[in-house]
Order: sequence, then structure tokens, then C-alpha cells
Amino acid sequence: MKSKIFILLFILVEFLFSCKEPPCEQKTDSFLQIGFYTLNKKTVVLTSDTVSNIYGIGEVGKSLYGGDTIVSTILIPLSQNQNTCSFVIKSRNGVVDVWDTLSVFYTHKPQLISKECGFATIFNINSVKVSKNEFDSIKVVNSAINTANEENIRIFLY
Amino acid sequence: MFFLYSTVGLSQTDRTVGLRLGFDVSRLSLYYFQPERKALEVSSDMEVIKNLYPTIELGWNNIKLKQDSLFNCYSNGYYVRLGVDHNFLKPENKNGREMFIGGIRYGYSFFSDYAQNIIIKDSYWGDFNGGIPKSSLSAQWLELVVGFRTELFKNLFLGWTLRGRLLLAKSKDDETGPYWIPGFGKGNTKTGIGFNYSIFYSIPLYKAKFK
Repeated sequence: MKSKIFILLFILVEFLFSCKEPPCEQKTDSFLQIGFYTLNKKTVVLTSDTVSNIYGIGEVGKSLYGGDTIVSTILIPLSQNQNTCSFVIKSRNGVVDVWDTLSVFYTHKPQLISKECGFATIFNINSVKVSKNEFDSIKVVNSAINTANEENIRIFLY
Repeated sequence: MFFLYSTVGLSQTDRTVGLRLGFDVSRLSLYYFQPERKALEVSSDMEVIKNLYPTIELGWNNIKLKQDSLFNCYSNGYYVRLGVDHNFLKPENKNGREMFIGGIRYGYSFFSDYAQNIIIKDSYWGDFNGGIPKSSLSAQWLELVVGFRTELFKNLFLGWTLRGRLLLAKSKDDETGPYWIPGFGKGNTKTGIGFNYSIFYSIPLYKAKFK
């Protein structure tokens, strides 16, 4: 009988000490991820773009990327207080700067990750629009924008 | 483990059949380790066919998560689990007071949750400041149960169960899932594990002969 009680109590103690939530080790930022691609004989190829500047319309002085950065993918934040965000993307094509505007239409809601991590915003893309100076076309490949930060949009260059 | 299944060939056995009432004492420990969470669970079972115990479990769960200046989050709800346990142990005495059980449960939970004063930091566009309105939600799941139960004193039992859970359905109007489903666990996963550590009292009802 004593051994049984011991087993029962041992399991209880094990259980009690496993109840504590670990500290926050999860990402809590949700970014829109954009990949730059080209079409090569109907094959989609990840490519790069030379970005001189990216900023959100209404946030002119706050550059997200700059300095002729060569990028294949970019992560940009969406506003949690609106359902539309537009960005100016300034690309360097040789010695010429080319300006394009990207608009993203979406819904969003806060989601509790855990007590330690708090809330994160989860976005869902409804549609996207891009001007066609440096860019040929745009495609949504994953409408859910969450803390996993997976690729959401593909922009195809000429 | 297979010897435990070997109940075939037992001779006819007289046993006192009782209505067993249980109280999950592990829920009380939550007050210490997770002060933001309060929960209660009671259960009842009875041997109606040899080694088979239809079981009902009822519970309540309440969560108040607060992080100063970041969010207040509330969840409150109830659940019921219906199922059956099978005792794989040969009875040591005529009352069969030792149990190694395996069982299955169907769980249903109805609950509500909401949040206030949520602040999500954003240094680029500006912080989000808002809340989530109260919504009524429900969920269903299946559980597989294994556990051990022993009689400490006459008619007084102590036992634990370990549970594996599979979410069958939850309210569709909640795309990202509730934070917590009472009786199931975290709402953002389809599987979960659970643990109960209960004390039971068996009310003797009648003598039965189980073949």
C-alpha cells in the first residue's frame, strides 16, 4: 500500500512542477513578407531587386529599407489601426530610380499568444495592387499574415 | 502490460457495486501555480457490466489574464465529458478495489471569452489599442484515458488519469481560436494532453455477481 501511495504522490508532484508556463520564446510580430521573382520560360525564379527606399505612405520620413539594398525578400509591417496600407518602393534600375506603389487591403484581429507573450495581430489579405513601372505583376500566395512570417506576396519583375 | 488484459477465465465474482463520486484535487493546485486560472471538476462512475464503468465528468474553468498596461483577458465556461472506463486489473479481493483503467471520452464545452485594454506595440505605424468583444463559443473533442486508482480506506479512493485529446470541432466564427477551451486546454492546437488527480468516495449500492 505504501508503495502505491508513493507512486501516486510522486506523479502528483511531477505534475505540479510541470504546471508553470515557460517564459515567452515565441515571435509576436507579424510582418508581410514579399518575395521578388522573375518568370524564366514559365519557371518562377526567386530573384533580387535593388531597393533604394521603402516607406509607408503617410510615414515619409521613416524608411523601412534603404541604401541600395539588394534583397530577394522583404518584411514590412502593416498598420494595426487601418484596413489598407500603401507603400512606396523605390528601386534602382541601373542608374535610374524607379518608383512603384504597393497597396494591401486586409482585415486584422488581435490574438492572445500566451500570458507571457501577450497579444499579436493576425492579418488576412483581401487583395493587393501594385503599379507597373519596375514590376510586371503581383500574386498573393498566402493570405494569412501571422507570427510565422511566411511568404505572402510574390512580385514579378520585368 | 498484456498480462493486465488477461481477465478471461475468471470465476464468477461477487462484488459490491457503488456509485463513485470524484473530486479532482489537482485543480486546486492551480490556485498556487496559475493564480489567474480557477477550475473545478467532479466525476461519477459505476460498474454496470463487469469491469466496465460508464463515466460522467463535469467541470468549470475561469481565466483572468492580466498584464499591466498590456491587456486584460477573460474566459469562463463549463464542460461535460461522457465515456466509459475499462478496468484491466484482476480484482485482488471480492470488491475489486484496485484499478488500472483505460477509457474513452467525448467532451463538449461551452464558454465565452473577451479581452479589454489590449495594447500591441508598433514603432512604425503606431500602437494598437483596443479589445475583443465577448463571444459565446463551443468545442467538442475525444479523449483516450489511462490511469490508476486504489482504495486508501474503505470506500475512499485516490487515483490519477493521463489523457490524450483530439479536437473534433470548435466554433467556426472564431478563425484564430480561443485561448483556452475549458476541459480541453489551449485552443490554438488540435491535440492536447491532460492530467487528473482525484479523490473518490464510493457509495455502496448493492451486491452483484459478475461473470
